[in-house]
Amino acid sequence: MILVRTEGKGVDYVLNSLSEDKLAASFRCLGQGGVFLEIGKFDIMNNSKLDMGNFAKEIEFRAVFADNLIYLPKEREIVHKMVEKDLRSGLIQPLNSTVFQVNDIENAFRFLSTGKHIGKVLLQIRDNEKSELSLPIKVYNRTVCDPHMVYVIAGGLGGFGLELADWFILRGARKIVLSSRRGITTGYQAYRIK
Amino acid sequence: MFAEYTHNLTWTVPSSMSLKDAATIPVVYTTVYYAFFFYRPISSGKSILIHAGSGGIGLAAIRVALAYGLDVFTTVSTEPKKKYIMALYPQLKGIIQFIRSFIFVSRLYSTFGDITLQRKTSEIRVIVHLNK
Repeated sequence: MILVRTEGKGVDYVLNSLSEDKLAASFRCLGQGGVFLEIGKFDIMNNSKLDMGNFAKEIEFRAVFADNLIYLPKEREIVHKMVEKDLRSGLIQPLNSTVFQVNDIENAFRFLSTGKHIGKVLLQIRDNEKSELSLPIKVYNRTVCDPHMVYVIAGGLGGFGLELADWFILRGARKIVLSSRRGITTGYQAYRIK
Repeated sequence: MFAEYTHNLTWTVPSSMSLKDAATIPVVYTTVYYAFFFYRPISSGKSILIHAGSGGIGLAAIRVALAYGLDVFTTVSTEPKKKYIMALYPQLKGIIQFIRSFIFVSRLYSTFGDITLQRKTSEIRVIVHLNK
């Protein structure tokens, strides 16, 4: 079909997300000097074989893993600028989407796996982004300590200091300095320090 | 309240756009721009085959490829998807419908190989049904 429509020449680019025999067939659709842009992961992760004969057309196979951008700040900046430009110009437009409520996430995934969707499947987290009442996740205030930081408790061997040390440790602190004039003097202090 | 995010992977939502619509943009368009423009930029007058044209990436990729002046071919798996995409992108050079099953897919692709060089066509749009 592709070869028919292009009068046997094949296409210059293929943006491929298909796998296995369908990948191989897409690969054959490339014309002279074409570029295969592979955004699927299945065959790459499975270390599948590729028919080298196709490279006689001087084609190029490029894997594109956009998730790698997270680790590539320079590349990310360039891509960001390009998207920004076309977003402002109006070239980039939103896609068709199907919305599921956040508590209906199972059905959202089932719908996605049937492949009947057009565009994106979205989860609605909040009804109204301006209202705190629609926050879906109950937030429990809890202090979290950094295990790499050192916490100093002045008078830390006192009753309150030892309790406070316990409180810090339960919240993730791993390095605590307890200051004291006299050092450990009671059995209870020794027991708690242990 | 605060949010953690990766620098340069966020954009300010245009004032005319709802958050729901905006949510459809970052992942797909970032992938498309990274694929299309980073190492070997696509250019006007070339042709491209975009698989699964009605998916998120597919829809975005077709839009960008058409805007940058390419001839676009695409594949879709169902009749409603084909109709949707034809209405949205009438400039498409070809839409191939296939059935999401291995048997039909393999037949389709053997057809890719066989018809190939024997036939030429001057039709603007050819839609092949192979799901019979």
